[in-house]
Amino acid sequence: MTKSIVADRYAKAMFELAEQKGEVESIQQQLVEIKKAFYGTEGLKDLLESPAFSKNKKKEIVQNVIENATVDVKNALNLLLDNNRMDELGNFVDSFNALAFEQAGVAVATVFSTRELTEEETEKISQSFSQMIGKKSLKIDNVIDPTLIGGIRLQIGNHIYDSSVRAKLARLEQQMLG
Amino acid sequence: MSIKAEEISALIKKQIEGYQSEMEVSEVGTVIQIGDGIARAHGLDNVMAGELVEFSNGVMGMAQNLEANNVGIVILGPFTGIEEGDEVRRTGRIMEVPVGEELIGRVVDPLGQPIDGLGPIDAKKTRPIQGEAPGVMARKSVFEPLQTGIKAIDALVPIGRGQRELIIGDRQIGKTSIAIDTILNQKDQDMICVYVAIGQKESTVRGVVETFRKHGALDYTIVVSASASKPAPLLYLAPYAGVSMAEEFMYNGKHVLVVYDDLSKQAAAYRELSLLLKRPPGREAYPGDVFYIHSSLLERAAKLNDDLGGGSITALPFVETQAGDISAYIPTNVISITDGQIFLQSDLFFSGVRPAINAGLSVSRVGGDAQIKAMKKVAGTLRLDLAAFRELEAFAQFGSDLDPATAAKLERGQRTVEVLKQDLNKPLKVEYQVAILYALTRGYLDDVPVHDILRFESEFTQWLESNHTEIYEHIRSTSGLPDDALWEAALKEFKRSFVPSESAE
Repeated sequence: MTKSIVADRYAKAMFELAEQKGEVESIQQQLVEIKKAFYGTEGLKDLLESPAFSKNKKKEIVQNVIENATVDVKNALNLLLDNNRMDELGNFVDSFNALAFEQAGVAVATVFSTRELTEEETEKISQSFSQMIGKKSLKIDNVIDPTLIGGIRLQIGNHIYDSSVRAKLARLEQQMLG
Repeated sequence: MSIKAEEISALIKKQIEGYQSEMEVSEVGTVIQIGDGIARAHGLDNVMAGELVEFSNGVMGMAQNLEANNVGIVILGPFTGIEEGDEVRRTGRIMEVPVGEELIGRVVDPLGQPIDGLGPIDAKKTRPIQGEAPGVMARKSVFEPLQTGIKAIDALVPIGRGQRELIIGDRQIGKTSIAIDTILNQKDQDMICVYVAIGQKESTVRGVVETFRKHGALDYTIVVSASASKPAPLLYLAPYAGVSMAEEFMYNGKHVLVVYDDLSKQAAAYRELSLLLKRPPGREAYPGDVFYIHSSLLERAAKLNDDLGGGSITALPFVETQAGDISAYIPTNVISITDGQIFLQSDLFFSGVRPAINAGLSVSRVGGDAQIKAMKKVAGTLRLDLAAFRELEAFAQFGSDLDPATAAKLERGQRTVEVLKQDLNKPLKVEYQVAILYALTRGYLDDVPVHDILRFESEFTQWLESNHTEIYEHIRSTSGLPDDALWEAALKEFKRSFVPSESAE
């Protein structure tokens, strides 16, 4: 399910371009970095979406921030600014990510656990779950959540695989209370 | 519910044994917007239209609008505990309600949960609330009468089992009373009744339930209540829940009467949630499918053919009008769907004609097929008589000199109106109705003073029970009209003993 149709269209265009040039991976990395920078910096996003600044001024700021980016990425951001779609940047990057992962046969998984997973564990989870959902491999994002008590909880897209102690206790409670 | 200590231990033991093998897989979405009983969620890619979803605080919802980037969900419960960013979980179930014998005598909400404080309902079966109506070949034409016990209805606008008869009128002029009396009269008639209260006051519903209990009607009645304080989605769902419970009985060959009190409130609730879901408004701001929600509901009332057990659902939908305006949107819709309507009029009500049924505007499209022979014979001309009387009455107000024929017609008319009056919660058996209508249409009441008619009726019908049992016996066993000679003898004998009271005027 997409968050925004507009962002999907930009992402698709960008992805096709990247594919032609064989730079999907590098562009993906750059975009993720850019999103992190823009959304992580206090006020930068608001400034870029604000109508109080002229487009040229905004472009200047953006170019300064992403000096090291490739030409295509720079152009894409300028285009977003020109079309007043800067508020779609986050969705644009997400959509692009989704397309890139789709092509590579990779699924993004968030694993919640009580402690950090070891390499070996990550590898095992990636193997068994990627087989289950019919993908080549998993890109695992490890989040530490002590409230799980034990076990792991895995989220892939809209699916949650929960075998944490917390979920089991909750289920037990439900059964006993009817 | 009491839990024994051993049970807990056994349960925990089972849990511990199965500990490793269990993993919960669920499909989730995220709430991105919440308010007014509606939530929008991102995710939930494979959700079905009408599927139940569960919010992280345990409240259920129903997926309604499936859009490209979000799902509109109506919340079936308190929505104040749900926040933006909460998880919404698919359940994979379409909304269904518990059905079966266990529900009889209970008061439940539209989800089938008991609200009468009499403990849990141990129903073994469930039915989806949005079901398909029986098809063309599954049906049979309506032929058995449904006795409402109300003279004006059974004589003038007879209702058959499997019929859909609309009851329409302004507020506070006795619509609900008709439903209550009809349900009370189903005692010993092998009927199961479902009373669906939509957007009613809790106190009113309480009163209705008490009336049922007092008259023993709760032994064969299910009350489904979504009161005025409940969220709009529950009001919208209540009639579907009611008809699903009824269907279970119908497909088991039983006869069911469903009362929807009332559908204009359901339409208003549906309008509310449609507007909140941002569906385009149409006439009177109702959404485009407001006709469909009523037609799909009322189509589920049916008389099944014998192969399917011959069960039936009779539907009595109610619609409230504003100042008698039956050309508003919802009234015209429902009138066109149903097999006739009973029109209640406020000026009749205030002039003392209760039930305030307007015989001219009320029709039953199934009509005479659903009357017993005896009733058909005595009530045949009643309708025309009444119409002629109403016409003459208006005309006669201007002149004092009337020819004897006109005067006689007027006299007869006044007595007809009087006979059709009836007290609350006193439904009349069909043979009693035939007796008094026979006396009226054959002119035996013409010399009884108008103010004595109701007393004559109650005394005569009681007297027949003890003195001329053969008349009632004949109607009950053959459903035909007894010989005129029998009637004449009985009526003459009774009239000798009947003393007219002093004139009230």
